[in-house]
Amino acid sequence: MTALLEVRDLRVEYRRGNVAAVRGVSIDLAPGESLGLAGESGSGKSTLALSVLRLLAPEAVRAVTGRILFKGRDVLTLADRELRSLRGGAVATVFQDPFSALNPVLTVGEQIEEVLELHAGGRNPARVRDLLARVRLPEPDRIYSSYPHQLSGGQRQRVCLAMAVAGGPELLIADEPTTALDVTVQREILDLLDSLRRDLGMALLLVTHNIGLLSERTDRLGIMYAGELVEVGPTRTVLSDPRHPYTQGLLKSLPRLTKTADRLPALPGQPPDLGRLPAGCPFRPRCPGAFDRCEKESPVLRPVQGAADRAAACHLLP
Amino acid sequence: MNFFRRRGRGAGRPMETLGAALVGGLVLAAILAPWAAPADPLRQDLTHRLEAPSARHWMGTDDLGRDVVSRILYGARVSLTVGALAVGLSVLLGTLVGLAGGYFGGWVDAVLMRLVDVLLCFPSIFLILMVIAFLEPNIVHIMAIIGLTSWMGLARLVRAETLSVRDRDFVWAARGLGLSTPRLLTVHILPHVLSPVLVAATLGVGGAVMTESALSFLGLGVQPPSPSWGNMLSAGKDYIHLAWWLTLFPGLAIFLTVLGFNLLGEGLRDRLDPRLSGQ
Repeated sequence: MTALLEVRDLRVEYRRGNVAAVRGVSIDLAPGESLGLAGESGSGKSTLALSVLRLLAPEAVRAVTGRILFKGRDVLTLADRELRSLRGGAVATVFQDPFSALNPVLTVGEQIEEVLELHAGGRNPARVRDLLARVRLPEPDRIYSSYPHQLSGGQRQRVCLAMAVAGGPELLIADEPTTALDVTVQREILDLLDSLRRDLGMALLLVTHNIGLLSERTDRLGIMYAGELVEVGPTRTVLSDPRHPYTQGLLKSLPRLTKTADRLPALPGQPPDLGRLPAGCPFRPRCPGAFDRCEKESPVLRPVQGAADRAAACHLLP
Repeated sequence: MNFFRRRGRGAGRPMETLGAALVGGLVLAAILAPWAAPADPLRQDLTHRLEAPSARHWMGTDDLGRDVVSRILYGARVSLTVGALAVGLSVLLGTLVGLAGGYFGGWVDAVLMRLVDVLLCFPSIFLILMVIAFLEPNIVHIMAIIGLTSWMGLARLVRAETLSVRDRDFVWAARGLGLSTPRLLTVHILPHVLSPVLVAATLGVGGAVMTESALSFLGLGVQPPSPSWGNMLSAGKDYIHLAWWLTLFPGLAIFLTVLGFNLLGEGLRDRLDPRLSGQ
């Protein structure tokens, strides 16, 4: 199977603070496959996801290098017109905050019609109602003529999802789609995302900092730290048998219902300052198993022995 | 967009109501002038020169025996037309320049905003006089000149609003859905900029009426015998000791018009600006 999306050695540098938020990341995504990207704030996961459609403010970015191939074509060198037809068409995005991702002065119907006009051959109120029903919104007629402020957060995110799938995308990029929502609604939105993906055969790139929400929901899971991909593999095995010490620390710090603990073990130390990364492995200052080599040499992502579908970047691994 | 929801509170705003009434009265006077005027504003009657206000001539007659009420009513047409069209032009220019500068940023913004700075350095009456030196003073030129010299403040206002909307999430979301730049600007950004523009435009009409009157007073605006409040004032000043009504009534008309637009503009601002609505 050929990859739908191939990111090769992507590096994104921001002007502010002169930092690289993404430092040489490569990922692959097959058609219909789902990949979760998890990591702390500032790990570069959102920057990576947004660069796929070049949705970073041009004045904030100093340089983007590497290649982002969607169906073999490099997004970074596409002409404006081609990029626009890709955005909302073959690749759609769902943003973090549904409270601000919808235009407050236009009705929900109007905003979805706009996508149909651009990518699905014209306005079509019946199709909009289908889409609203598809994202399980009750009373599509009422929602159609509602303004965003009349809807709840969960309803708004459903509307955003309807807008995203309106253009019939092959890849959906969801940048922390549940972070701004109530915990009870988060699960519903993720379930909806999952069923939409299956029904429509889309690939999904799901960015989150809540690793617990990813289990069972994505085929593969990538863990990012300080702008690098430190571990990647099938979600189930990464969660049950983490190899990178950072992944291990992250998982230990999750609360579990089955165990009672007085205190949750937290990862020691702070997320790194991207402007002043230590020499060698960026995780070294917080790593319980760091040794000499970690100070001198930055580990590269390489296959995990005995598991061809997994990779991690750590000197501790054989 | 809270305009409609707050409509019920208009009753507690006597000044806004007064402003709306003054502006409404002016518009009505301008539209109805041909029917409401008791006499032809240009008809001279040398046997009844400089008559004081009476039952027949409510505001008296001028030095050529023309009926002042009629001239004031027709003058309202001039003032309102000049005010509306000049402000229309200034809104158009200011909005275009402000949107372009705010949205594109970088050198586009730098060039446009330096142009604004330069134009704002000149007193506007100087700019106007400079242009008039080359053009025949007629109503079309007056409107164009007032419009061309009054858009700079609006451009700054629109630029600032555009800057604040440009990077809002919904604009990025719309970008992510493949909208073109013209469409982003018109559908997603312009509506958010409109309410301050509406307020500035209303306040601007008052300013434009003043400028037109000043130019006509100086003899550089609407030319006699066409009635304009400015040239009526100018003609009346020679008789100020003999016939006070020739200066009082045009002056009052200008005063009430500008007051009306200012009160209405401030009322609109209070309604539309969410930052002031808590008061």
